[in-house]
Amino acid sequence: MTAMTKKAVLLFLAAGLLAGMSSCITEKRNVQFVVTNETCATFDVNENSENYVKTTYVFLADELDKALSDNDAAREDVVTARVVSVSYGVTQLPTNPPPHDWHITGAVTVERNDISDGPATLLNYTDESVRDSYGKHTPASLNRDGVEIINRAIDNYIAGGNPSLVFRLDNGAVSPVPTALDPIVFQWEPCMVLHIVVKKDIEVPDPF
Amino acid sequence: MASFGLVRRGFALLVLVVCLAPPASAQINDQLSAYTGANATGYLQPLANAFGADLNTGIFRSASIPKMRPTVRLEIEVMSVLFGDGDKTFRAATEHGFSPAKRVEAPTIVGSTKAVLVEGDGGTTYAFPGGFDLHSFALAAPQLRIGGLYGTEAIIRYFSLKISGEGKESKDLGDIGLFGIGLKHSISQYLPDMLPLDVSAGFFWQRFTLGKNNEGDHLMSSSAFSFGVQASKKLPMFFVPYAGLSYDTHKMDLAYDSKTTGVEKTIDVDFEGTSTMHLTLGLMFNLPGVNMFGEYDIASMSTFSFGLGLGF
Repeated sequence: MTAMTKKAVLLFLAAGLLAGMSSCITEKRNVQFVVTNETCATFDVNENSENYVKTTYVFLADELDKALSDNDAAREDVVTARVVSVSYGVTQLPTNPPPHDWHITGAVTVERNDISDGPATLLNYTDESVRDSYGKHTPASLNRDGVEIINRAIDNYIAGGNPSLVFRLDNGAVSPVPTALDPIVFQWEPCMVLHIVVKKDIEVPDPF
Repeated sequence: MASFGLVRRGFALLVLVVCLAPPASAQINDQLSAYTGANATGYLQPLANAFGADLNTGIFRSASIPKMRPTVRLEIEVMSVLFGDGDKTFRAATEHGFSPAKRVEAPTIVGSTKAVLVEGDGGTTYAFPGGFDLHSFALAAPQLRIGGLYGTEAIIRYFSLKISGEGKESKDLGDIGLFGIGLKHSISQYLPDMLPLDVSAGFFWQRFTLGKNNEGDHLMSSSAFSFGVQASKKLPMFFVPYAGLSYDTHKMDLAYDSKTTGVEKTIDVDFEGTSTMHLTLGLMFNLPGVNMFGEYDIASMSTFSFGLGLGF
């Protein structure tokens, strides 16, 4: 093999190696990743009757904007988003004096605040022990009508809207029945998990 | 949108690069953040296997080691795994209180880029993230061989690069690091007239680290060990066919950030260690001062590698 031939072979192989290395960083993929967002609504209960209604507002558009921003994505990157689950639990109980237990029965409803949609029941709770629920997140059995109001609000967000939601705690029964001398006092928090599917163009190395 | 253009340009020029690592480091963390750990092992298993297979490739090659003549050679080599259909999906389980609990075929990190949606009770939907649609996973590494002392050769792999992003990702994302060291010793020097070819035995240990999580630990760390025997034969026209049989082990750990419950926390995933027998078949073109090689490696995950060496 002549020196010239050797050089040519070497240059060819070196160029091939470099080309192979370069190509390994240029493949573009449109990847769908999932942002998980948890939104909680807090209800402060301090009542001396068993029939009480508590309301809280969730600015869904702001929640979704923040979740996307935290993951370097924007509204136009969203492919779809849906409710995954809802759980609830007691987050605060009076400590001095420690209360006796209460059993509560009622429902959480949801409706749109920015347009007319709903209300519909999102979940029912039946004979829930306040003390046993403290510090826990109990998975809720969800009502389709309520979930669909939230899913429609998400679709409205993806389409450019700014939806907000009203969650209403509509309590029907408490055992024992609270009185002015023995009011029911606790903080209750249903939390909703959303999955937001986002598409991202990224370059991945895929040499061969 | 996360971008790592600077890093990509840098390593394209230098060639001394671990291919997947820089652009995918933060993206892997993004994808994993959808998982709280139960699915993370299945999602990343093909990558873990590929890491181990690549790391344990391209180490030994020629069994010829001078008994007492200094040799130094700097090599660049590329090791790669080709993924099969079986690597593209795994049996994933729904999380986050989704009802009813379901198990479905979802993309692994090398699988389809499309997310998989699962319908649940009451109009709920669960989403599994897509993969990166990878056909191969390649590592490139510089390797230094210093030999010729009592028929022994030292092999060193080293690479280190800091990862930085742009815009919001401009924070320090950690670095990519590879360090490996091993020895190879000539057996045939003790049997000069009995063997028609060169025979050696050796071992090699290495550690690879990638990225940084919010606790300052590595996003991914991987260690590999290989020991075995090699044989080669010098033929006319500078050709040196070689073969090797070795036993390889590999271990990989992850510690990634997850915000699935609203509070960011670090999820640790320890992959089960793997071990495999490994047969190497290769051919080296060994010119004075320069050599090139290509080899195929048959193991639990088969690989191929090729490279270039300069030295004496």
